[in-house]
Amino acid sequence: MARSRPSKLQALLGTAVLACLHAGIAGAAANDSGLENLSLQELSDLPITSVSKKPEPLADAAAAVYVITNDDIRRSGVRSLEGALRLAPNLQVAQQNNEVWDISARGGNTSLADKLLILVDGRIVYTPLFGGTFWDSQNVMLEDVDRIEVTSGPGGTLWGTNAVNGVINIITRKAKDSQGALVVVDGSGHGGDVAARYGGEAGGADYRVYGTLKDNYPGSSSMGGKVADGMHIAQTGFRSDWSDFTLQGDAYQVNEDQDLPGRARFTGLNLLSHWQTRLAGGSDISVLGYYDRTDRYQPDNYGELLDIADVEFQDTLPQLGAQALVWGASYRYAMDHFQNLPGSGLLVLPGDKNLAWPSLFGQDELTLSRDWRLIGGVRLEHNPYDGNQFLPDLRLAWAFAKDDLAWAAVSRAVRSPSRIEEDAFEPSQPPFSLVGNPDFQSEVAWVYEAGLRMQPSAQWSYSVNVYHYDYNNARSLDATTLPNTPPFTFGNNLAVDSDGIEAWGTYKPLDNWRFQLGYSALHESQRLTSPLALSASTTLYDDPAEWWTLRSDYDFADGVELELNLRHVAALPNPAVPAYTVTSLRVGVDLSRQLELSVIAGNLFYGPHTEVGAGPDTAQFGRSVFVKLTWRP
Amino acid sequence: MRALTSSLPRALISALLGICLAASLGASAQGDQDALTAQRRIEAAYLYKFGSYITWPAEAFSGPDSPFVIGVAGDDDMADELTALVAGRSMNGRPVLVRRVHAGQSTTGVHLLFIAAGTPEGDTLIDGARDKPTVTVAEGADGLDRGADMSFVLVNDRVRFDIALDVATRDGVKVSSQLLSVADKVVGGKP
Repeated sequence: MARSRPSKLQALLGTAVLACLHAGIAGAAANDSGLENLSLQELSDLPITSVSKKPEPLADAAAAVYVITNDDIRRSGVRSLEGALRLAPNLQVAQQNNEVWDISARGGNTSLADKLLILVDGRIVYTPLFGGTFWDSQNVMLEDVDRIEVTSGPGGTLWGTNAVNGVINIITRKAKDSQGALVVVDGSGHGGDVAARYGGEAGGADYRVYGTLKDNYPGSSSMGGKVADGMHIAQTGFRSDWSDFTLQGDAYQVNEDQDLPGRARFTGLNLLSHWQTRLAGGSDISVLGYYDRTDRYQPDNYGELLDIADVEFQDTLPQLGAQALVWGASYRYAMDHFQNLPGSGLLVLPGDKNLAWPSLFGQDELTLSRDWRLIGGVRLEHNPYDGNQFLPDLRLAWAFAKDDLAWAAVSRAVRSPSRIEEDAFEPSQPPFSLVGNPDFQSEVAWVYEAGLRMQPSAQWSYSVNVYHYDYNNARSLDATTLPNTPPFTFGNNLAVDSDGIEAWGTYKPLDNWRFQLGYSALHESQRLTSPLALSASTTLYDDPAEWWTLRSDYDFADGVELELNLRHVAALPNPAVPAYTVTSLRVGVDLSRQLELSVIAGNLFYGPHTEVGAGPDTAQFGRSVFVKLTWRP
Repeated sequence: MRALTSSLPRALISALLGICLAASLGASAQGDQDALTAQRRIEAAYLYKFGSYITWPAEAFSGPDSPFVIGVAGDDDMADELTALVAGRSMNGRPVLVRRVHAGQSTTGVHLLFIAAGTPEGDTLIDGARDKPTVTVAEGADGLDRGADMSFVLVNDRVRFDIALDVATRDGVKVSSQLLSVADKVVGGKP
């Protein structure tokens, strides 16, 4: 998939990429401002319970949380989950082509980004194959997404390992909040979608079923010609909710072009159940269990059949004096069947491996005084590669004024090893230039963060977070015996320091006019800690020094909306990609009560640009116009 | 918070609420038990927003600078909430006034009149507003049947509203299609 060929070493890493190919912190309140600042649509979407019940308001969360609401997604006119994630100022989102997106927070953003944990309604979609997310298989019906809570910074204590740089919780609507029919059709010269959903009531439960079809046509390569990235996605799913029980599932098939002959085919299905109840003693019990199968097949490359079963138990005890305690246990089990295909450049041995990640966590929130809270927690997780890992986390929050919060935290965050790092060989026959390292260790970062969240007036609110990451055993690419001489392997001989700032704010000069600004800057430095470590180890830190976004939403009378979206990303070092600024514009018109028309013009003022990568697989993005119709009969 | 401020003069309450309450939904929601239910808080926000999506004829105002008036019947706490909410705000260049409406009072000069469910004189108030450019907003699924122009309803734990289409053509009052598009039900023909 993601391939670059400028140098031998990069080709090596690239080939590995080719082959490789859990916030309780965040609250449920999707808005952090007064009700009167919401639009009519937002008001009509606001569950009463989010106003009157406890879920911790965003304003109280001692972490860098940004919430993308359903309305944000609708207004932006995005047509993919990855596109929706661009709305979070604390994420880095770079599209290489239709199939490959690099998404991370706080650096380390390549298609191998492995320190961001993504959950869809509690289901972890992080793959143990290479450590990271196969974005081409993560499709959700955006109209039925309630909100996306994006927490940058460590979330491992609550969500498990690999939430080093952040956690993304994609939360879909309850079935009772997605009743009736909905049909979305959109299209442009680059592809099109059809999506339909129906929600109803039967047998004491609310339910919805949905189906989507999506086509992305091959893009234009930055080197001329076409990118082999045409793809077709078909997905269907359901959700049904009883009073304290939820059952939901999805099934999909993705067909993708690849550079090699034939088309890649990815199929998958998942089934999730979630039971929540309150015991007589006041404990809130949650039991989440799911099964997730992904079957990836790339002709001449590799096949992988991966079955994952996960059970998570959580007990939130009733507040006892100044203490609020939550604890839980989970067991995650994977059966990985890697199929080594003839003609492939890669070998994974053993092909079949069963993996287990048992885990236990506890967290206490101690109210020190009216304004001060101390939140301490720890998770103990066992991984199949280097055993037990402790993930402690300590946070101090000071609500120094109403709606104003300052917080600071220190955490030990862990990214556990993946199969590729341990079990891969390349090429598929000796002599190998790359051999997996059974002694590869978890990458560990000590993370120091502080944040400030202010709402100086009803019109204006902002957040500023700063962070420092300190790794002394980050992943390196090492020579095994003699410096710079193959075979190479993965090691832990890279020290990384990163410092950064994330800031975002909302300004509403008028009821019908909202500005949202986001700015991030990042500085990373790497140091090889062994003479065997290759300087190419640092290519996994291909990050811009800064990026910013500006969105303006304006509502005219008579159901016309105008959204302007500006996004600037500074240059990438390696492979070099120049800075770019993208402007897009959406005009939404309510043609009738049932029918909404959107016209979205992308990349208005600049010529074609690439976002990440170099080579024939790197697409360039020029002007585009697409039209979207949403029908809610 | 309300308990704390109930003994203070109203202007001070308004000022305090204008700063804190209007600014923070989350904090007030999880804080002390507020006198006002979440539903009424959301309705108050709606009432304030409605003004932007409904156009009243010039005759409905005594002058170009005369205020936009929201009347509240049957829930004084809601009137207080709304008073705090509109403090310092204007509506299409007009100051916004919130008036408590009680039995027997005239609703002349009221542009938007909220009648809480269970208000004893509710139907009388609705009838009295019929020949005036006063948009009446009731509560409950039967609100429109009782003659109100609009009515708040609870749908799936959310506060939505029904709207009678003839409000758009009556007495020079115009309703934007955006308002209609958000409505749960539009009664009286297709927009």
